[in-house]
Amino acid sequence: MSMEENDWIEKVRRGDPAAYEHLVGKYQSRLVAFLWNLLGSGDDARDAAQDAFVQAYVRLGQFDRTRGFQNWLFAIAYNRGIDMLRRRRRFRIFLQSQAVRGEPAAAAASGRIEESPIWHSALRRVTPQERSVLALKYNEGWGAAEIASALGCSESTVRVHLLNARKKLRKELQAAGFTAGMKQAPAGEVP
Amino acid sequence: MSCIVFELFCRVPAAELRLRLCRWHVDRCVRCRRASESEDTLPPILVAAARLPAGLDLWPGVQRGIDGLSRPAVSPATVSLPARGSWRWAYAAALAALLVIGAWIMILDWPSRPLVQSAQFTVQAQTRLFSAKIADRQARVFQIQSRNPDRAIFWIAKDDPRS
Repeated sequence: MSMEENDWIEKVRRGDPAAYEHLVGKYQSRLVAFLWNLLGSGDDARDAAQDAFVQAYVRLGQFDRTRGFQNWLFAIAYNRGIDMLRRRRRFRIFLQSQAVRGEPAAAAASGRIEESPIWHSALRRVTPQERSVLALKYNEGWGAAEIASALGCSESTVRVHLLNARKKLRKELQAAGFTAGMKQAPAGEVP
Repeated sequence: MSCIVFELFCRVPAAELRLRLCRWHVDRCVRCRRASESEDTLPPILVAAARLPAGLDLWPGVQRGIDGLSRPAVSPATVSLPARGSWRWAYAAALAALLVIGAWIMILDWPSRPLVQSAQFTVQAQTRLFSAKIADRQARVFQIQSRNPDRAIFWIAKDDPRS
């Protein structure tokens, strides 16, 4: 954790809520993206991220500096996301309502693969834990130890989730005509 | 690619056993560990921060949430709070202490008053405490009325925001 970030956290702890705006601005996009991958819905991701920031503010007294703020924040967001999935079960219902239809290649070419039936079809095969591991590894560039700390599991579990998720996605996407071994897609806007 | 043993373990039907076997194997298999660390096999399906629309601003909602709580962040002087489970024990201990104090008061008053009098006893509390704060937070107030109408005990406990 950088000294500057430490200062911002210290300001918030001293009772300056405005200082928290800086931290929210710094992490909001990454947190929403992470939760979007976990929940499969942009609206839910925004709601969950907002709740996670509020929870983090309330629990800032419990924050252990040795762990790092972003890891701690993502852990709160992950738990919030899992709670959301358990309570509402909307993700499953949403996915089940999405029939695989249309031309996958066209959807991918538009740069909005998240909107394509392929994305839903592929992610339907992957558990929320596996999606979280994928997002933290490929979006955040975290190692197994860091992911395990955020998700509250062992490093071995993280590795198993990663291998399983890749296997499932590879199979699903190959069946849909995508080539395996592709890197994470470059920038394109999500509506 | 992971190895054939991993693939076999992945076919175990019981989920808990499957995960245990896979973990056990991944801890020992160099090939699977290497596969889990490689980064060149991910299909382009993840939503990344760079792909989110511009203008995302969660702060107004977060601020509303914080204001709604009407409690500030914990001051630096505060020691790290115990884990959620510990609060249950803290409340159980507080309740036990309350019962012990109540019993103690009753025992102290017992010899001074005949039984007949206790049956006719009515609470005549004249002092009331409607609210209290601990470290600027609203606290819970419990009033214990002793048999002696001139004596009342107030128990003030921190209000757990998560309860």
